[in-house]
Amino acid sequence: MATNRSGAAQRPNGAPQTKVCQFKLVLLGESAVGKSSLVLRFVKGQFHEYQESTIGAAFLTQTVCLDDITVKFEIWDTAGQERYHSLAPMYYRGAQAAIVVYDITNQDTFGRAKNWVKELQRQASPSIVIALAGNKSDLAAKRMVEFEEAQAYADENGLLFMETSAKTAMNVNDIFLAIANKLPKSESGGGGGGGGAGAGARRLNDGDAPRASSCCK
Amino acid sequence: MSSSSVEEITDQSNDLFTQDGVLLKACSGRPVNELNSIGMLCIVQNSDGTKSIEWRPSDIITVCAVQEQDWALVNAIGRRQRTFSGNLTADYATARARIIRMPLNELKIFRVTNRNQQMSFSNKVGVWQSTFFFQHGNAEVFIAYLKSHVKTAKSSRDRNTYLVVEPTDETRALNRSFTELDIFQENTTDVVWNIVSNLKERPYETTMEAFSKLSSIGLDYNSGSQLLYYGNEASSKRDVSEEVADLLTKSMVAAEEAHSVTKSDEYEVISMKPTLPPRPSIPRSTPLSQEKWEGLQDTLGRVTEMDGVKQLIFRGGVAHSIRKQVWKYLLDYYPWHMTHAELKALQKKRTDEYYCMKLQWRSMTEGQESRFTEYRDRKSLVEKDVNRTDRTHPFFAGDNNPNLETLQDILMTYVMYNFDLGYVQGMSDILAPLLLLMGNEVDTFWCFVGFMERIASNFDMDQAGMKHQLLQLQQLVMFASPELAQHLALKDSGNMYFCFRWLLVWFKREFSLIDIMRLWEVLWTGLPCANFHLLICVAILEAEKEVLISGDYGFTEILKHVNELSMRIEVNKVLSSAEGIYHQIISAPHLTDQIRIILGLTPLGTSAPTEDDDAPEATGTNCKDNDAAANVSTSGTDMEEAVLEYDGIEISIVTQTVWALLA
Repeated sequence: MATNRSGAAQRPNGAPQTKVCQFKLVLLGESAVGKSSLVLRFVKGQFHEYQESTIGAAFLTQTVCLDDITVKFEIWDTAGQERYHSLAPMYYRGAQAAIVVYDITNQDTFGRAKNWVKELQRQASPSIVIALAGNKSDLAAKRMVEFEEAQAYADENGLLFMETSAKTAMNVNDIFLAIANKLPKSESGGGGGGGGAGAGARRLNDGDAPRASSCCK
Repeated sequence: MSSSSVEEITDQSNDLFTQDGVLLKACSGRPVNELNSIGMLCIVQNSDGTKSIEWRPSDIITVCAVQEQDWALVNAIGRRQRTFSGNLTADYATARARIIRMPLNELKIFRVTNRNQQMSFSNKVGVWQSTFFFQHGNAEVFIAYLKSHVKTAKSSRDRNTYLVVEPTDETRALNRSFTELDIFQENTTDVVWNIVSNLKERPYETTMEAFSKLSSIGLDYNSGSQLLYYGNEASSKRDVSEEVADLLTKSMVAAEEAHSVTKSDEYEVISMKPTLPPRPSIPRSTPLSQEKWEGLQDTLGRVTEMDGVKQLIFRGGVAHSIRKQVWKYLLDYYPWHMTHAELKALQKKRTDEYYCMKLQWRSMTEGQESRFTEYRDRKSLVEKDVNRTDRTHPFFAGDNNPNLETLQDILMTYVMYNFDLGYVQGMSDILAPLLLLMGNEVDTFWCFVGFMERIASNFDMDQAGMKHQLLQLQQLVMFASPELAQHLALKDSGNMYFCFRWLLVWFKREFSLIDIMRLWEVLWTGLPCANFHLLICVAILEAEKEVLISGDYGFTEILKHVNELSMRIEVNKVLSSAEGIYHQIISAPHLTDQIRIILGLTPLGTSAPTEDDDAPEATGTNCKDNDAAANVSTSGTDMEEAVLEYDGIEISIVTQTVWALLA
């Protein structure tokens, strides 16, 4: 019963040609930097100029194919405003990947992104793959955060980094693919941070500990 | 940031499994007034790797435990004292003391009774230390998890009793020390055999006698299980000890069974699954029309029959043509008893006041702004959200739409009106339908102020208001739809967090603008009870129950499904079923004080006193609702008379005076 959620994706009954891996990914970042827009672009290929603010959280899934495996992202999109900060741990707990988003036209959002990275490094699963996305790259004319600055910060902290545009779709699929490539996909791949100490995402799954940290079947 | 506390807490323990809705029935050494309180039974992994069974009373689960684990207390900005929930720490400490914990390595025996709904645990012979009643369905899932953590053997004579057989290091060590101590010496076997033979004839009496004998020679259950291992090692004694263990188990059960009868009498514990009375189908009525509305005002324009008006609105809403007027009353901008002349004066006064506050921020120079970070931050938050509020609606669509500027102006003026609260995401959603209807900036502002008065706690810095409501909702679902509550608990969704959006902006995102107007005006009446908006949640969830359960939806699917209900809910249908559920609940014979308090009814004071904790809080959160509820309960006799007829179409909760006026 503990694995019913992922069972279908992991075991396409019959002859499984490709391995299917499932990962929990969370989007974090200041309000209105484009978290929902990135997800919407990636999952539905849509863009709404006036995408409404996210209240609470949204959950979407998208599956991408790598060479020999299929990666299914379970994506948690969160509310960005500081007031709702206290809800965030509920979403990044147990996440194997995170995209921390900032708006290249707003320096404050970059500062906020750094705080999110710090918080993830401190409190999320130790093996979490973090990507930094400088969104709204279509508004380069209003740029306030230099590419090099962000790249240097990402390098220092071992983050994947890309400038993206949910509006033009630039680098949107790419950043998700880069994450998919970086995620461990071995049988015992430490997605969950070994021993389940950091990753308690699915409390119900913790009953069978060895499975909690593996992503592939 | 209190990051250290977060880390500390996560280091402390980790919930491996949790089951909501578990009633504490008995616990040795606990005050009686703590019994029958509801809580969560968990299997917890401690920081040192050991595991425990832990029961936490509900009142700390959402306020504190959830904060620790799910909502991680991130005390980012501490400047807004007012919105912090009162004496959290004091309550918390008291509540913490009520947590019941039993290390798994001390658990020796557990037992399941009452159609798998009740579990007792013990680490000693003869005393069940704690007994719990599973309100949601049964304990099967809990047992399954428990059994994955301890090795058990079913008693051969009583299939409901499980012995923990895996010898832990600790008991092994004990075995050795007991062997060395050689307590049993020569007459052990005699004692044991006597017990065995007597048990066969007089099980109950012998057990009681045996317990006293056993304890008199210092044999607690530790040594009882030790006896078992001792026997295993010395094969000659094996049969004896196994049989003893079985018999002991059986008679313990017998003893406990006899015991629990009196217990049930004493505590009036629900012994079978209570069901609600059938749901009455209550048709919605037509909206309050202009004619009726005018008929309800005297020649000077005073609304004399406020209660009656509210009842009419509750039944059918307000006709769109008069909404603009009526909402001002519903949102406490216009007092019901003012004459046209008085209202005119009031409106002038409020207009001046508004523009005065507006000027306060409008007159701020760029230089001032640059040195006023808090103000600047709020302004930018407002801008970000106004720019993306209801932009698909023609009223707010298009570039440079002047209505967006009005939204911005009202929200900024509200920041000056209530700087402590400021602007929080969600407020623009609350404002947009008001502006759409009112058109006028000043009227919209004061109506917004009235609405915010009711829901300000939704925007608490520490989310206390939201958590409190989610807890109340959880309790209502547990009562009104136990099957669903059980499913949610099983799927880690017992905290009802997936309803966050519904509650935060009062369903604004779930309905079209025209439907949300209907829903809101009905909710503003405060009828038929306090927190009727929570019953709206129950009604929506109840309608989705089959999908959620039969689809075996998990945590993520539940949230996704609930989010996707947006724009697919029929407002009149949901109002009607919520009202039906209200009648089901209040006429349920097992209605508890906990539920009565949530609905603003006077508690009867018969159930566990722990629920008193909720009372002041509930009053604090929603004074208006409670006032309305007080109205309801004072006119309770009227209501009941009318409600009794709800089988017929002519169901009506309108007072005699209103009937007369309408005739």
